[in-house]
Amino acid sequence: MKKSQNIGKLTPAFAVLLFLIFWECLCRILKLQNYVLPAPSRIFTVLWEKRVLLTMHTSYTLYEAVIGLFLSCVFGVLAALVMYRFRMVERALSPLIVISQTVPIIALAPLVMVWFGIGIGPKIGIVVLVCFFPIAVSTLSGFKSTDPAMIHLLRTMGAKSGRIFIDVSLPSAAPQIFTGVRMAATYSVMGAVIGEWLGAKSGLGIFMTRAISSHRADMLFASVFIVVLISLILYGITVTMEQIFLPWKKIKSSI
Amino acid sequence: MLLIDGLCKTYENYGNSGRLEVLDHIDMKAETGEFVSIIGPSGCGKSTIFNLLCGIEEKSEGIVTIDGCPAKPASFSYMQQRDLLMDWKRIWENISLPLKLRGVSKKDAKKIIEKQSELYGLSGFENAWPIELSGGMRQRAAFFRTMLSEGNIMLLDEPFASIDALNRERLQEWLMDVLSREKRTVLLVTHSVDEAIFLSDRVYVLTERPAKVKCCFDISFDRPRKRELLTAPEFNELKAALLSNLT
Repeated sequence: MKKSQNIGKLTPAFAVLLFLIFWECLCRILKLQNYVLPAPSRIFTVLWEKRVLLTMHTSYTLYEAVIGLFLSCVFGVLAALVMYRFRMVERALSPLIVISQTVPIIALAPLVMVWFGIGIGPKIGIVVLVCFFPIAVSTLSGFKSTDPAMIHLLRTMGAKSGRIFIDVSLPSAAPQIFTGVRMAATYSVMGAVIGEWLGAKSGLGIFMTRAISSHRADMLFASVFIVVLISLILYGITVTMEQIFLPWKKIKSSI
Repeated sequence: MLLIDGLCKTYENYGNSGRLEVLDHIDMKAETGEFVSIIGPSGCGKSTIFNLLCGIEEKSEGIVTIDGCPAKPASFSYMQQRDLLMDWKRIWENISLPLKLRGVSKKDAKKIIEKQSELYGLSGFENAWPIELSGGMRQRAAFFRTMLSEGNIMLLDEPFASIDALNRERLQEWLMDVLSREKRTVLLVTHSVDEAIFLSDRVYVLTERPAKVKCCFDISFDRPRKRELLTAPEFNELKAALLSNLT
C-alpha cells in the first residue's frame, strides 16, 4: 500500500523526465540547430551561464506578477462583495465584466503603454486586468452559495448583518475565493510577460523579445522555463495558503 | 404558558394561482415545561408555524402570547431538520454561537461547553470539525447549541428525520433524559406517530393544506418512559386513534 502510494507520487516526475530524455534524443538524432529547437541540456547550460542576467529580469517579472495578483485579490473580492450586496450593481456590471474578458489583452496592451508609459505600473495593470476576472466571478458565486437557512438561524439567534457576513457568508465563499486566486496565480506571470513584451526596460518578457530577435532559441526556452517555474511556485503558495486558512477542507478530503 | 390563537398565513402573489392559504386559524397551547408535538400530512405547513413564531416569516393574522404577553422572536430557539453546523468552525465554536452573540467571552463559552458536553455525548469531541462527526453526534451538537440559545421555548423541526431508525430511537430516549434534567417548553414537528406519542404530553393533528387543527390528544403516560411503552396496548390504542385522524 505504502509502496504503491510512493510510486503514485513519483509518476508525474517520471513522465517529465521521460519527456525531457525524448526531447534530448530527438535533438541529437536529427542534429537540430540551436536556433530551431535547443536540447534540454543546452537550455540548462544557458540557464546557468545567464543566471545573473536572468535573476535580474525574473525579479522584475515576479514583482509585477505578485503585486498585480495581490491587487486583483483585493479588487476582485471587493467587487464581488458590492455585486453580492447590491443586485443592481451586479446586473449593471456583469455584462461589462464578461465583455472585458473577451477583449484580447494583447491588442489592448500597446494602448496601455501609450497611456501610462513603459514603467512597471502598466504591467501591474495588465496583470490585474487578467487576474481580476476569475477572482471576482468565483468569489461572487461563493457568496451566492451561502446557505439561506444558516443566515436565518443566525438571525433567530439575534445576529446582526455584519456578524452574519463574517461568520457565514465569508467562510462559505472562502473555498471558491481560493479557487479563483489559484486560477489567477497561474495567469499572473503570463500577464506580466505580455505586458513586458510590448515595451519594458527589464523583465522576462523583454528578455524573450531580445532572445527572439537575436535568434537565440536556447535563451528563449531558458526564460520560458523560468516563467513555468515561478508560475508553479505561485500556484503552490496559494495551495499552501488555502490549507492554512481552510483547515477543515484538508480533513474533508482525507475522509 | 405559550398560547397560539387564530394563527393564519396566506401567501399573496403565489405562483399563477395568485394566493396560497397555508395556515387557517391554528389554535394551540403549551404549558411551561410541556412537550407538545405537531403532526400532519407532509407539506401541510407544519414548519411554517415555526417560521412565523421565530420571525423568519410574517404572520398574516393571529395572536401569540407567552404568559399573557405578546411573544417576541427571541423567546424561541429554533432547531431545524438539518443540523446547520458550520463546516468552518470547530464543534465547540459551533455550539457556542448563541453565547458569542450574547457577548460571552471565548474562554467562558468554552468552559460552559466543556462542563456540559458529557450530557450531550460530545465530551472529547469539542475540538473536532463537524465533518468528523456522525449524523447522530452532529444532531446532538445542534441540539446543544439550541439549548444554549436565549429562547426558553424550543422549536424542533423534525430533528431526527435524517437519522437511521436505530439511532433515532436512542436519540429520542436521550432527548427525554436531557429534558428531564433541564426543563424546557418544547414544540416538536414530526412525521412519526410513534415519536410524537412517545415523547409528548400533548399531540396536535393538523389537516391537509390549508392546515387546521383537526384534533388534539393528551398523553398521560408516566415519565420516565421506557422503550417497552411502544408495544403496550394503551400505546397502540392511542396510535390507532391518532392514525385514523391523520388520513
